Amino acid sequence: MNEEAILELQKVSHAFGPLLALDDVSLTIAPGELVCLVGPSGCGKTTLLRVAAGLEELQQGGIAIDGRTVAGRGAHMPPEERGVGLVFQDYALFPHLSVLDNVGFGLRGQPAAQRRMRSLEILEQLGVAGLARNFPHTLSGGQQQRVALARALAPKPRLMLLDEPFSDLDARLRERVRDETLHLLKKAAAASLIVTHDPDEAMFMAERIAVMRAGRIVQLGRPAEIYLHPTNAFVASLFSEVNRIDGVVSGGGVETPFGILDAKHLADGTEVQVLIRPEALKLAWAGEGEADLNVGRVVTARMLGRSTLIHLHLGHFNGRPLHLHSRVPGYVAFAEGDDVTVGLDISQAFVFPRDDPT
Amino acid sequence: MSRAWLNGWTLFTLLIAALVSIPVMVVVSNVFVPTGEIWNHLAATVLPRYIANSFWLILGVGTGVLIIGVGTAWLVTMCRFPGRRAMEWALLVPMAVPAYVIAYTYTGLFEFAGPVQTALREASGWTRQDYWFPEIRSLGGAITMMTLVFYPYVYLLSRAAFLEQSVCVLEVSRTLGCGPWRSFFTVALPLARPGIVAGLTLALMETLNDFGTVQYFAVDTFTTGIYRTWLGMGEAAAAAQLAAVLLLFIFALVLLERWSRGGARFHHTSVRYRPLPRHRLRGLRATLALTACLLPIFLGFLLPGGALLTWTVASAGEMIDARFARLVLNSFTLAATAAVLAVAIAVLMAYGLRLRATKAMMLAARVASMGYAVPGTVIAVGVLLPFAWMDNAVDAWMRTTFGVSTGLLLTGTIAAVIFAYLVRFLAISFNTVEASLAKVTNSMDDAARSLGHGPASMLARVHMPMIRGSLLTAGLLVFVEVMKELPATLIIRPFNFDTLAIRVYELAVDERLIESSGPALAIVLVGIIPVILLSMAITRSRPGHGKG
Repeated sequence: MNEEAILELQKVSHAFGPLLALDDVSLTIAPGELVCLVGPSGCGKTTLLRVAAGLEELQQGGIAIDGRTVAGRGAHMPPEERGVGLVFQDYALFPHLSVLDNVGFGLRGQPAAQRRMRSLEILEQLGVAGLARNFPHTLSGGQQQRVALARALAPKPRLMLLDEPFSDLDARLRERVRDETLHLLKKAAAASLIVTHDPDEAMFMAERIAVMRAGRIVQLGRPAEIYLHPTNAFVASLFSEVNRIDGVVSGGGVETPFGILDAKHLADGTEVQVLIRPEALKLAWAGEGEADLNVGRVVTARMLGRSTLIHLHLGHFNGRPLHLHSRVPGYVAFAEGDDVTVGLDISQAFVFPRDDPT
Repeated sequence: MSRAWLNGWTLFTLLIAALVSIPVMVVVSNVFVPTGEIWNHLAATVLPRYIANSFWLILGVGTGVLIIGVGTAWLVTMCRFPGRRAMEWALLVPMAVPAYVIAYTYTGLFEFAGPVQTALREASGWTRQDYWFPEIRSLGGAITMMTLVFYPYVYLLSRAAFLEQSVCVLEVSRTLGCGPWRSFFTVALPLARPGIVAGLTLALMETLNDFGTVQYFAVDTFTTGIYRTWLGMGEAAAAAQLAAVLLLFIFALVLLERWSRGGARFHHTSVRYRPLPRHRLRGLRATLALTACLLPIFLGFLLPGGALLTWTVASAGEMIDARFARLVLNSFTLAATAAVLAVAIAVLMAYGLRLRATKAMMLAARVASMGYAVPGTVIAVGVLLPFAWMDNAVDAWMRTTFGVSTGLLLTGTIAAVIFAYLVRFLAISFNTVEASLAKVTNSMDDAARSLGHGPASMLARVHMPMIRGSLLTAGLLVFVEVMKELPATLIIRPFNFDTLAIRVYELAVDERLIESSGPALAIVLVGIIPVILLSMAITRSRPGHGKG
């Protein structure tokens, strides 16, 4: 057991009938640390959260919270004894209780006055103290989310588990609530595990990201690590759109329109896919840059706000027309039919075996 | 870190199921008790008559409730005519009248000395031999009475089935060249079949359960036979065997319903709701439709209700007295106790099932809610036999050990009556509670658990407050059923313990129909409560009405 960890999952496996939802998952969260579980729906991330909370009985492996074994070897501590704060996608506010009573619900055994004070204090922190007398059905989505967060934080849990907490909010509101929640969780110094299917959200919230796929954690690391050094095609293509070029390893490298990319980790003859992030393709008007670079033609260009996306036609490669996307920060005035030179930042191009699923 | 509480809930559910299934088990197991002469005697004399009468009752009432129930349901859901809205709920009202009450009232009105025939004779100057008048106290009369008060079951469920149907299916049928009548018979009716059969099953179960009507009309069926064999001849085992044969009829009905429900799941072909394009009726057709709806309401409620009211006013002076107050108090106490217990047990069972639905628990819950199909007389026999056995065993043991006789501890007590009510009506409260618990989302449970509340605390603080409206409804439904219940009460009740229903029965048997009107009217008035609840539910559930 790791004495330092707030949450420790050891080799947890969980099946629903024939479906293996969790397959030998291990994960440790340090005090105050914010970890995001990200992956497509059905990858097991919500199951992992429910097993940690005790809402699903552990089938295999071990779970420790705050250094104390709560599940494993046939033991099962019921959820009400684990002292874990939970926030649900649908918020699950009790419709028959006022906001104040909802927040005070977890403060069992405390004198009424103290319960009231703590509830008001946390509502104040979240800026919704004015709603204390309201009932949940009168609140907007953002307000409900805040009350749900306040209710989970009120008993001062050392571990917070959040299941898709922002997915019911519309886009603009989501960004704001996400920002508030991040700072609140950091301030509360609670270790947090946040489940999301949105990679951008994971990048925004997390200190560490665990990418899940088919019941397994396929990569675990800091956001920069995950983005810059994905260990497989799935992780690489999860966090941004990618250009894909097929090739074969030969002499420790793979040939692309941008020259030979290093592929020493793969055997010669391996069929590979080269994944290139759109921002790795550097564009300049033809004639300005160096002469040996590829020249392509702009098919379409779209200003997307923070960046411009340029669709390029780059002649033929391996007998197939090559259509690539390049993303350039800000607004660049490329127009349909312009000829451009295309360069590659090789640190943002990744070579994986072709049968590596994306 | 223990899971003991889970075992607690499971154990409770299994225990209730075991207790509730005792009467049926007892009745069935008595099939193998040799009764020798008595059974042969019964089989040779009365059994064929019971079977024939029960058969004709089922056939007659079945046909009657189908015609009235499906016909009126079709009119109010698919057609538009003045007064349709009011008819929608008014067609339920005859449900408030117990079959034995309408039987007594019609007898009072239409017998030879009743006001109708008297008026006829006075107007025409005829005497007894000069004219023919249908004999109300007959098999045909019993069929008519039961049809008039049991058709709302079919009406209610077929109306729901018609409402659920996708309009598109009907429109397709119309565009393919079927007229409204052919569309009804070739598309709407087959689609609504599961609902219609469910209603029919309920109506026929009530028919087989009836004791008061057939007893009064001297139409011998199983219920009267069981009563006579038990109390008149003192033959407990033979009565139980008759009860077992009656259970066979019930079992056949349950099978019929199951079979019909087979494909019900696939019947929602369109999730989109569009208001039903009601067929507008005008002039003569509208009048006919309105008459078709008004007739069962008049015959099933207004006529008997009016007669009861008139007679009550006429006899109020002598009938509304201290004795009447005691009847009301007795009925109320029994009904309230049974209602509170039935709801409490239902909550614990449904909640236990929600916490952990093991196969054994689901089976137990199904067994526990089976009693509604079992006729009151059968339950009475199944309750009294084991209770008497236990009393005798305790008494014998006490006498040999301490030399004291304990006499009857359970038999003929209020507790035995209440137990019989629970066996029969637990299904009503359980189904209501379970349905409303299902509407509480599971994340409520997860949230409460994660905030430090165990199952018991969660039940008290989250689930009970959230479903309290349904708890009240469940309690009311049981309350009213107990108020109306006659056969089980009659057989099991303590000596000289009278309720409103018992008093109505006794006075009617003594041919004091006018005097029985007061307590009968009281029962009918209480019986209107669930009708109001149902009609409110109907208004709320009407698609596109109120909150979605």
